[in-house]
Amino acid sequence: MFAKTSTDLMEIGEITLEKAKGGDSRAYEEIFIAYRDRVFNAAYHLCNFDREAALDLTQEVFLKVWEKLSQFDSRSDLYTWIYRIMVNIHLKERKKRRLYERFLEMFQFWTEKNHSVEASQLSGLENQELRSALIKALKRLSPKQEIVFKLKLFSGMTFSKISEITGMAEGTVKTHFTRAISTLQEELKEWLQ
Amino acid sequence: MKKCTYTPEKINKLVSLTISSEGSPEEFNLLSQHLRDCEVCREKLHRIKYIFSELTEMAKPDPLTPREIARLRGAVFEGSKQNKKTTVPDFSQSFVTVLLKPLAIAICAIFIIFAGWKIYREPALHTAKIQQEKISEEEVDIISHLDMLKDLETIEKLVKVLDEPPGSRS
Repeated sequence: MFAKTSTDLMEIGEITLEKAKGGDSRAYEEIFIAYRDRVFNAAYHLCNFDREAALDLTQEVFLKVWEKLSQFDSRSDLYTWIYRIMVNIHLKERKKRRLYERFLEMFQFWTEKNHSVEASQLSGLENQELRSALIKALKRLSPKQEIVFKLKLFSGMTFSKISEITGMAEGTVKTHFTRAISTLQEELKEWLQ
Repeated sequence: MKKCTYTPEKINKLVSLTISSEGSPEEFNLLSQHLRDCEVCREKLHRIKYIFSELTEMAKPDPLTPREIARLRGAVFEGSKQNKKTTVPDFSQSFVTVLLKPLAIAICAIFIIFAGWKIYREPALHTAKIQQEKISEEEVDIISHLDMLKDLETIEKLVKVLDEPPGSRS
């Protein structure tokens, strides 16, 4: 019956899920504990590595999931469903451009904090420049390109999974990914020479 | 270094294939064959891989702190309780929020715009009205004293009659 949700059910259990769907807040807390880190990580990617915005997004996601959980029909796995909710919320927020404003604040914080730089081929300063160039480039992606690219690169999802989350055809997802790569190459050409 | 014979679109596909690691065995064969022969693409892919590894490094957040977890938990469960409450349809509340508030805002906005427009368009008319009001006040004053004026006329006539010499009255 729940063939697709086997991974989820190992984590939260079918009974817990049913209880949560029925409005049991204790059962929902188990779901919250099981998914909070993964949701936060994904939110962190979607919010261009702005921790504060990612926390807000995580909060919004869990509130929405709680509100809509009774509608979850177990056709996809719970995490995919949660992810879909997150992507929708993020796209709405993206429209409002609030996340970008927050990102700018985050970037200021970043430079002040003198973020620790991993050992690499580049010097520390160059590395910071590259990171800011990367974030700038990410901002150039269209909403669909951004979602597809981040789900693929940061969450390591397959194209078919991304297609399930976004509701786009797999071919379209691949096209958006290729275009995202092309946009990023264009934006980062200074660094690719 | 030998120039790459691939079109930019084809190179993009190669890059996409490398980054996504998703493709058919034929595509991967083509990729490895091309990379074996093309130093330009090899160099480029190496660079892109490095940049993208930097990006994935950036994408690793520090784990949630207990304080952040408490904040999230509080917000979610306090918020969810509130949400549960609002799932029960509260028509009076929705009536106020959905209908009355926008209506009140709209009325206020219309009033402010209308008042502003009135003041902007008719300052001269406004002063003229005030003047007119002043004139009419004077007129009212005169009208209220008209009876007294009539009385004065009568008194003047009587005085004239009395002042005339007695012979001239016949």
